[in-house]
Amino acid sequence: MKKIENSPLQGRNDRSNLCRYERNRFATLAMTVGFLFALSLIQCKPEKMPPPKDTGDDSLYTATPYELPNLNPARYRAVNIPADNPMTKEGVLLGRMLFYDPILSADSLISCASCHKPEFSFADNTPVSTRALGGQTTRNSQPLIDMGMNKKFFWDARSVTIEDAVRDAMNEEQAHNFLLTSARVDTARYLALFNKAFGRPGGFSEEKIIKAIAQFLRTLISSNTKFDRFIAGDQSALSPDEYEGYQIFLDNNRGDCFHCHIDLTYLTMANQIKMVANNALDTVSSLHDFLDKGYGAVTGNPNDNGRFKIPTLRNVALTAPYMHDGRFATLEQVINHYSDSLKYSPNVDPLMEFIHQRGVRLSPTEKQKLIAFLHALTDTTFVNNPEFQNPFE
Amino acid sequence: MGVICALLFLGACKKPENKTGFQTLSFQYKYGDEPLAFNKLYGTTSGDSVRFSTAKIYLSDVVLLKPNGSTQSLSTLLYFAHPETLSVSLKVPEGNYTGIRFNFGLTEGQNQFSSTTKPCSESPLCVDNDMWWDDVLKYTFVKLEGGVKLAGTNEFSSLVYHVGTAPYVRSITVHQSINITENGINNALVLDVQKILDGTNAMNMETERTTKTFDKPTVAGKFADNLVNAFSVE
Repeated sequence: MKKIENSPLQGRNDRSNLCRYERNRFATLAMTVGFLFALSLIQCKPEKMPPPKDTGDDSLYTATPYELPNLNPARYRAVNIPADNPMTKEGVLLGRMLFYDPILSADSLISCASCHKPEFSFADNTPVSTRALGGQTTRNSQPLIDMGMNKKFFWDARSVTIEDAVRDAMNEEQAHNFLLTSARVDTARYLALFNKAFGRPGGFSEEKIIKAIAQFLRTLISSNTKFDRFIAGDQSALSPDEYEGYQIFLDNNRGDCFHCHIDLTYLTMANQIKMVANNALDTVSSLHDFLDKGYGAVTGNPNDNGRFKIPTLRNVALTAPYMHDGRFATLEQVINHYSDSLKYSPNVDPLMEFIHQRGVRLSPTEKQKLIAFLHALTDTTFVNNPEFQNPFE
Repeated sequence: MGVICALLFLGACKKPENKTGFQTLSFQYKYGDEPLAFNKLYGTTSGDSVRFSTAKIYLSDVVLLKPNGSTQSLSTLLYFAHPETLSVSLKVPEGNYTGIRFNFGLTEGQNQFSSTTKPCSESPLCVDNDMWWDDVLKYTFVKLEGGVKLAGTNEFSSLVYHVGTAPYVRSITVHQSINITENGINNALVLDVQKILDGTNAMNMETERTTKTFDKPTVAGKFADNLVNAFSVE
């Protein structure tokens, strides 16, 4: 009997059998995948996980809110989170990847982390840093720590939000070009993350890059130094030398550091209200003679020339070299400056009360103890936090 | 009918109550006869020059004095910082008053740490007014900062007055007519910085140009005493 090649009936039976076979095979496959997935959940390490593929099934995806550490509000400033950039786990992960990925720079060589290295509290260990396309930055790369508690960013305090600061750094230091970046983005690697972080439609945009990096930066919070533990009530947290150094830090007539480096009793270790100061780094006879006008270039007010943002002292032992131009290689040099080598200029900050004698004049022992206290501001759990490290390594 | 007329008559004769509404009280920092300007040089009678970059003060238990000797509460706490916070909206009845009385500094109850956690929109004792010292000393009541160029010298030295804690609270009364109408408060409260530094009990600008209270309590006391006569209503 001639086989009816194209019998609709036969075809239906064949398809039916095929479907049954496919269903069984699919069920087996699904069980296997499910088992492997469950195994992967048990064994996965979030900081090392590969970026997800864009499966296209996240159109209804709702990002997971990111919970910041619950810190004592009397001791730690609240993190400023703009209403249009709420923090999500997906946004933070995306921001972390973009922070470490050089694709944002014009030459695909410089990532944010090239100048902001986690081991140095996200600062650079050279006076200035290498920019995209081969140039050098004009100032020292500042540590990125407790940024969400800050109100202004960069040495000249020119940005008032983290998002502005990220945009500025991308343009200035990475010579960011959105078209170039777009062409380089591996959509399979990033698109799903953008969609999960910010939802559909839209995918990839410059604004989302900035927002994601800003979200990651807001997670960079330090709260576990010896000094934190001491202030929290652990009297043994500071050694006798460190404690004596703290007293020098607070003493109007010795270190007198606290006016600029304590923000009320908040432990941000930088006065976030005073914000900028001329800390007697350069001798000039006129306000117009500062080589780097700092904050004055931002405000246009000559009285602000030579003023720079007061940096946090958290992890200060890890963030050498120091000052806006990285002129001091060690903490010893910094303390010698404040103790013996202040330089007069017409707008030296009034709180540099000992400018008339060129410094507070600490003894060698006092300097040693003050430096011991500064080392007690080191937070190793911060710099070693796996959630802050390069996700591509 | 007679009763109604009597009631109408009585009603017509009833003294109208002073209207109470929100009015703006202005504050002005001056140096002598002119408004204080930051970074401007002012000469002293001893030939020194002074300039200013910060001027902030707390006043508490502020009351208006009525002609009959009673008082009208104006505010429990006022904060004035040059140049950004020089007026405050207060609920106060219209009327003529004979003066104003207040404390320089904070009351014991106000001088507590817990207030620092509030935003400035809720309390002048907020963090961002940058007046908190620490858990022991609490708040500074005043910050006056700038520089001093002594006669015959070329460099500025620091001028820093941070005065606080209970012994330096002063009660201050200014007897001056204050007229409040529906159009506002027709007077401003004025603090003449020159009277603090270069008045009848002038600061020695070489030895008394700084105090953070505990390091130089005598200077802090002199500052607080001079402050008593440095206010006026204009």
